Amino acid sequence: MLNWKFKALITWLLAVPAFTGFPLNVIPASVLPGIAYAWILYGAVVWTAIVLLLGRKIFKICLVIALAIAVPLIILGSLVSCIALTVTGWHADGSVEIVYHYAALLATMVVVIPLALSMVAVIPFYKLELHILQRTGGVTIIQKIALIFLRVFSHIFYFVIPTILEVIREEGVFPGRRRRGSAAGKSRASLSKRLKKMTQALIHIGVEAICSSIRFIPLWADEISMLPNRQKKNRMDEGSRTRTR
Amino acid sequence: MMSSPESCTEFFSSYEAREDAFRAAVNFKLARRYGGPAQFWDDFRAITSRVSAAPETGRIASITSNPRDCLAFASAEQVLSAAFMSCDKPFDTSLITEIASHYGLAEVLTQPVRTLSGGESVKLALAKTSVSLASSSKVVISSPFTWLSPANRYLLEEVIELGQRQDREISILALDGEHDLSAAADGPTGWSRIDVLPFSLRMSGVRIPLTLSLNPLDDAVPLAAVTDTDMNLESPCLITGENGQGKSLIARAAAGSLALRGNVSITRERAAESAETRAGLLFQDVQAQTLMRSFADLAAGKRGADRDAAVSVYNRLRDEYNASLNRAESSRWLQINEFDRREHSLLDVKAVLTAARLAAAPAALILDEPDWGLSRSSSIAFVASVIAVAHRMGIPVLLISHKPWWLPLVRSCLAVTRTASKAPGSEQDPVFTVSLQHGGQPC
Repeated sequence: MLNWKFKALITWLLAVPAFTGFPLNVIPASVLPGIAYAWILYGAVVWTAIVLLLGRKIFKICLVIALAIAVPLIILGSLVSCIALTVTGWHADGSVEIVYHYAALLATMVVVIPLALSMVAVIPFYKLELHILQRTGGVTIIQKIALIFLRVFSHIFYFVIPTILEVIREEGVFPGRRRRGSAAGKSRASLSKRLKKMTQALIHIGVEAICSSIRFIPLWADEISMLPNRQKKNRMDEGSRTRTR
Repeated sequence: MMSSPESCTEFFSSYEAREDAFRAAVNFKLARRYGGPAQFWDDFRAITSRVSAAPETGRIASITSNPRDCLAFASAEQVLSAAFMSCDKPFDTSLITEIASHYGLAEVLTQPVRTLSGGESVKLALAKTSVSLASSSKVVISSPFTWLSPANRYLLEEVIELGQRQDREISILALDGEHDLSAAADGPTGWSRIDVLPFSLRMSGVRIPLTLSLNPLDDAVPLAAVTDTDMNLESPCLITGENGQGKSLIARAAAGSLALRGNVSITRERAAESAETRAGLLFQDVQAQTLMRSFADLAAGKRGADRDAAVSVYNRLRDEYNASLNRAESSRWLQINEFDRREHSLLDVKAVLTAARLAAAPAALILDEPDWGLSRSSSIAFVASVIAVAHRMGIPVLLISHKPWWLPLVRSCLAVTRTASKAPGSEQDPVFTVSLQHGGQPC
């Protein structure tokens, strides 16, 4: 079994071609304009690496998130481009260009998004947090900031969002979520009313999410600030102990 | 000599007064979300502007009215490790294990705080406070009698005793009558005259992911199972059990607020076939349920139900409530048209949310810890008024509580117990199973 540091190193190194273009841009042959053979090969390597390093379950989640972001973007983007092309004067070359452009975008997103997510997922935040809290010699200011960041992140991800989803489910906040056969479901409001109600609901959810997310930061920050500061002397002591070993 | 929790307690007549006192005691490190967005941002600006001010003298250990909120770390193990570290005590795994065992947290020590039940969060907050006492000058606890079941009250007494031995100032802020364990006396409306309303509860193959709604990007999602149930019950029905047995989980499953596998349905007697089979739920933390909406929006009703119907139910609830209490207390309850013009109370919030649910004609109405945020007299009058109005509409009412207050009022009782699975073999095996037992008579 590889340890997490080695897994993280491999995952982060895998990101170098995506961000620098090297050596992908060196090989010019393309399946379609904008999608090089090298990119397809690179994508296959990235997907295989995620499956091997993080497991099938995380790969599936990463892929679903990537598709959830990419597909609406591609559909809406291509629709807007087609409308623009029709307004300025439709021509065959233009429509082919749109197809190539969005195919290339899709190919990029289904590789880059899972890779970016796995770069975060590979870090065992829980173990790191525990390591910080169980070491002798105190905590550095950067570690304290990291602890607050992790607490707020986990609060949002595991408490604020699920609670809001519970309220939405229980109450049927969105007009489209009415149950068939229920008294409320029989009366159908006009589209403009439903849009207005949905917009209102989204605003309420946004305000609730922001306020719930930051409400306890001062209380937690106070608690985290009570952790003893790591002194330079402690760090030097630990360093000399490491060298002695 | 050890003093009782009550002797260290200051009682308040309303949630608002107690919350203000708590915020003052913790040097206003908590913004009032309940006051609405404008109030929230005012508070938050005030808190952040004090960051550069001179440091306070003496540390204050605190437990909030929702104990989970005061836990600043991701797991029970981390919370206790941090408490030890803050006291400059050397880290010792055996000490943490010993404390966790004492507070009944040994099995959930490494479990993320997000997956702990309400009862386990309560115990963890007390365990953390018992360690933090060494480095604190003062301990402030908000409404412990509401969230701590009578069987676990000894844990609070132990923390107080420990604090007093170390000469720490202990301050408990509670609502009037919150500590009282006696059953509520028959009110002016006459509980004995409340009609009995039969209904049935069916649960089959229910599996609930414990991360509530989201799959984390790390481990397999732990599952809770509910044993298959098919019971004929009578309203008002009390769902009871110790801290951490899964009472709220059952309520949320019945109200459809959780993503779950399996079927849950409540059927009213003589209900039409197309009638709603899901219950309406008043959350324990009603503040989260408001989504910071204006009161007009809250009263507009659930799932598009008629606003006028919700207002009518609200007015009936207010009339019933006023009949149960004297004028001084009942004057806190607002007229519906005053909502956005006057500062509202937690009782108003509960009443509006309840009215909106009743107006949508749910299969049943579940009140999760209805006493949370209310004084004893106010809570009893509120529950009595909800039952009276709901029964007149043919809607059964289920109460979730570990308080013995409701025993003379209820007509059936369900005891919730949780058993941990010995060794889940696969990701699909539940980590624990929640069982419902029908007592027939109030337990």
